Order: sequence, then C-alpha cells, then structure tokens
Amino acid sequence: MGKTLTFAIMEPPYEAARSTTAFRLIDAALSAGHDVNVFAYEGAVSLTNSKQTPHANAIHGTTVDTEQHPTTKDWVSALFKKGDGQDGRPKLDWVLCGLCMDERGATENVPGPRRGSPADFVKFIAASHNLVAIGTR
Amino acid sequence: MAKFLLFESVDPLESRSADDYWEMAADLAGKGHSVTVALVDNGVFAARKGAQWKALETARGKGVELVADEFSLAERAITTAKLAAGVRVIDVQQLVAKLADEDAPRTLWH
Repeated sequence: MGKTLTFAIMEPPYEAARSTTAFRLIDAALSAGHDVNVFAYEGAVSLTNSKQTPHANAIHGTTVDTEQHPTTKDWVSALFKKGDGQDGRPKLDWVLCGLCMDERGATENVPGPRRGSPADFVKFIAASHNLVAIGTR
Repeated sequence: MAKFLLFESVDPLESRSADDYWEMAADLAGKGHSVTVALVDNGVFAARKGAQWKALETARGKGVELVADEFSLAERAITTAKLAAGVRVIDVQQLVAKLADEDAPRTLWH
C-alpha cells in the first residue's frame, strides 16, 4: 500500500543540484505509488513559473528546438501527469507559500500547484508517513 | 532506539558544517540508534577512496550504514572502484523505499 510522503523545498530554479535531486525523489515516490505532498517556499515558488522560456545556445550552435533546454515548470507539469490521482495513480499535491509568491511577484504558475501557507505544511506533516525538508545553503 | 536517515549533499571540503553533521551521525550510532547516511549531490565526494575522509571512517566504525546515490556518483564520474570501503551504491527508488519503510526513519538534510 502506498504511503504519503511530504517534501519541503526552497531552492529557486537552476541554482542547486538539490532541486534536481528533489525532483528525482518526488518522481520515484510517485512511480512507487506513494501520494506526494510538496510544500514549495522561498525561491522554490518560482519552480512552477509559467513564464519560464527555454532558449537556444549560440555556443553550441543550437536552436530552441535542438537545444531542448529543460524548464522546471515542464518537469513539475510532468510530475502532475504522473500524480493526477486518477485511475489508481497516486496524488501529487503541490502547495506554494503565498507570502513567498507575493514578495517575489511569482504569481503566475502552470496548472497544478495551489496557493497556500505554512498552515498547509503543518497539515502535510500531520498526514504524512514521512517528510524530507530540503534546505538551502 | 530510533531510526535515522541523514541525507548529506555537501562535499566535506566545501563547508565545515559537514564536520558537525558527520559527528552527529557517528554519535547517534554510538548511542545505539540505527543510522543511515545517504550521500547525494556533492556529498558523494566524501565517499571517494582518495578523499580519506576520517569522519566517514569513524561513522562506519560506529555502525552507520553508508549509501551513495548512483546518479550523483555518475554525474561526478565516481565509479564503484573509486569508492571507500563500506559504501554501498543505491538508486533513487531504494532511497524512497527507505523513506516509506513501515518503521519510518527520522530524516534530516544537510
């Protein structure tokens, strides 16, 4: 039987390897059938920014299409497909700290994440089998 | 006795705080707790044979389970032949399995 696991993340996009590791853990948890809660605060509220745009690379001589530069918003969208809670699939619940969103102007997001507060994180803790809080430097 | 899963993402040469974290892991194991240190990201640098990271050897001696994320190792071109004794390679699915264990470990991330 799947468990409920919670991850708290705070790194902004593209700044630290721990963001990639967090994504890998969340993906693996969903693949294993666990429901996953994510509380994204501080810089991590920008991981789901719908305005992220991939770019070409003049040094590599690539176009936008051939460079295939990944964006974190697309990674999160893919996680939501895996964790849509439908047809026996696990459920991904991704909460963005509202205060962190406001102070960063990070208010435009891809579908899936919802605005919340630290109170949601407390609820996640109470409802989870386990929790990993991934801080920043 | 409690069970701990301590993620270490910091290269010990990168920050002195690694000293304290490894000491904590060894102390917990010394007190009889079940401790796993999961090396991820730059934390896998501590697992290199050539690093001769004494804190890792002390922790291993106290019974700390040492696991290193295979993806992080591959990113840094650290092959199993280059790993210190007692470090086991683990994949991300196995890390999640540890988190989801019935006897859920207390977790920390450094």
